[in-house]
Amino acid sequence: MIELRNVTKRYDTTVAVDDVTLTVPDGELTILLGPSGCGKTTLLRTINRMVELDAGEVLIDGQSVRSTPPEVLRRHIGYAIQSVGLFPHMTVRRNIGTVPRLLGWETARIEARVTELLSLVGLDPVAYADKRPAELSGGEAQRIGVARALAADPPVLLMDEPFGALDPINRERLQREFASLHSRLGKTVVFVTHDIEEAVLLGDRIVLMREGRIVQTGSPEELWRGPEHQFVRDFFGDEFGLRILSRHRIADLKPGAAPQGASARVHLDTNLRDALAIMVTESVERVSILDGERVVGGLSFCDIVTQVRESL
Amino acid sequence: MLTTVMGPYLSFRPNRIVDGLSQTALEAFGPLGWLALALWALSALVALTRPRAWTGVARAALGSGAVLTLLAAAGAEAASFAAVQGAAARTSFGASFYLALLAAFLVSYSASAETPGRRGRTVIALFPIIGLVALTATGALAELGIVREWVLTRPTFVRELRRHLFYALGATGGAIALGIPMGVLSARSRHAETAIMGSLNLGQVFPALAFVGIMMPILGALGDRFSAVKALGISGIGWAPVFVVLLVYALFPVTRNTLVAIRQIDPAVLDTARGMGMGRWRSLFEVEMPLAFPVVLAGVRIALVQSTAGAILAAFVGGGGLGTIMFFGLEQTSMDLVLVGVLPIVALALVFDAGLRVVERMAGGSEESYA
Ligand SMILES: Nc1ncnc2c1ncn2[C@@H]1O[C@H](COP(=O)(O)OP(=O)(O)O)[C@@H](O)[C@H]1O
Ligand SMILES: [Mg+2]
Repeated sequence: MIELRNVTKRYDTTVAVDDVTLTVPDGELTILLGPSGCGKTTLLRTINRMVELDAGEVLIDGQSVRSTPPEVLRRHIGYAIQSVGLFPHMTVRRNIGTVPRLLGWETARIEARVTELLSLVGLDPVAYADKRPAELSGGEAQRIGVARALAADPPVLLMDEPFGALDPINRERLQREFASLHSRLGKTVVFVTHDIEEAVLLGDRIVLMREGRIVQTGSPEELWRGPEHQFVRDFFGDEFGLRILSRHRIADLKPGAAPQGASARVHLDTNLRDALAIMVTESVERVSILDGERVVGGLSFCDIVTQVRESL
Repeated sequence: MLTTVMGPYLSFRPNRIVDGLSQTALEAFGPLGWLALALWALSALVALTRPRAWTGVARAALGSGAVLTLLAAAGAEAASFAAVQGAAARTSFGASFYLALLAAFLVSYSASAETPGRRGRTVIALFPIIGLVALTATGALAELGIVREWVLTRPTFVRELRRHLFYALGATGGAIALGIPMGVLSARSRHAETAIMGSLNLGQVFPALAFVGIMMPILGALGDRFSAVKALGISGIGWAPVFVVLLVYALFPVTRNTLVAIRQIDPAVLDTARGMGMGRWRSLFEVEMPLAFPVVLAGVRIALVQSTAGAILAAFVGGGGLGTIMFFGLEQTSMDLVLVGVLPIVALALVFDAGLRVVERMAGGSEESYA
């Protein structure tokens, strides 16, 4: 668990982070979200002491981060940033092995770990281990960046707009892969972004910030159902509901009766936003739900609209 | 091209001091002179044809061949002149020879530029070297003035060459030892940069000889005051003032390139190095220095070439070096002797330059690096 207590950071005249108190639960993916310049990066970097505080304290598992020398602390916290920052003169293998090397692991153990991590981020270890960063595409480089951050299996992972520089197709693919990676690994992740879609897609919790302060904290559904400020509504906009739909699958709803006769069919795993899109495209109010090849029920336009607000 | 054959080519003098007789290549060599002219003409003819893979090599071969022919002929003439006049005879090259040399160099250079493959370019560079070595080995050049002077000065030559290398390599070594830390320091702090680069810039604009003049009394006083300094052989005269001045000059490219190289590293790379838990020193040695290496090496190359040429300075204040031979030649108005001092300096500088460029390329540096 990461606790930030009354954290403040000033630069000359600007107050980058203004008296922020926040608890990041273990195993969750917490998003720091807000417009550019609102202090997300600064807040993130107080956790691994890349930014030293002017006031307040940061605790990890009840222990102040100041009680550990910064270099030692950082070796136990994963760190990945938008511009990746791979070392251009080192192979992929050596890049990924950086923190294990700093921790004094044996060569064989590092080697095994590099292979494991490359597979984990979806790259062929044989093909990629000896490449140089200059030979990688943006998406590949970012995968390596994530692998490098995970190398020493740190319990906490800090990520600053890691997919921000990618083209939309690659970004979405990496977001989905990362979401499934996170659900498998169960790391505590603090993830900075200014992209609402990314925040709603990935976040277990969203911390919405403005001008160095937290506006509201909660799951995407909580922020959607119960915005505490006009700013929350304005920031997420009218599409917020649609984005929430994309977080849930048909399987999450109570199925209704299957429609009679020929109708459009959607699979149980389809997300609600896509299901809605199919209804609009096919001009039907009700679709059949498939589990494999079998029809297991039906879903109507009304089901989506009413159930989402009540039960998700 | 014609002037190279028609102009004053060789001068024959009974000894070093008296004025001699000038001859053009055609007068001196007869048929061999015409052969050289024909080679030149052929080379020009090749230059007019459409460039193909082999034309550059052919052109360079013909050009080098012309000059080598002239050289061989000059050697033969010198031998027959010496047979008449005895050991004091000097057969020296005139302006036309140097023009021919320049022309051959330009031809080879342009031919090298139009030759696509690396192998072709190597061949072009090897033509004149192999030719020269062959002529020397067969003794064809032994009676030329420049060779005679070289043979006469050989004992001093070796000593002065050693001293010259001491200045050039010593100053460069010192610049590496001091300049790289100074560059790192400058890259880390703006204050350090202002102080260090400011004073090095000041050193740069000082005329070298005036600088030596300033160092002499300072080092002299130091030597008189502290016996430890004196024990090192440091005093107002001799090697120390020149060494210090060369060192200051050499510091500039090394320090500046180190500074620039570190500054131009992607900030994200430094940020992740720190973020993953590298300390300052580790980041310096594992990330910053390796990334800066090719550019720093370019600075070292510049320092070395500059010091090799600059070490001539030492001759002005009795510090030795190849400059001494050059000055001796100037005093005696013997162009041959001047060349015995100067040619090795040029050759050394070229060899150092080429050698370090190869290392740079292997280290992944770009061709044009902050010269
Ligand atoms: N090193 C710094 N020096 C001066 N001002 C800074 C520095 N880092 C951030 N700031 C300022 O602090 C504020 C918050 O910055 P940042 O945390 O990077 O915002 P975000 O990541 O949300 O875009 C901005 O106004 C920014 O200009
Ligand atoms: Mg930011």
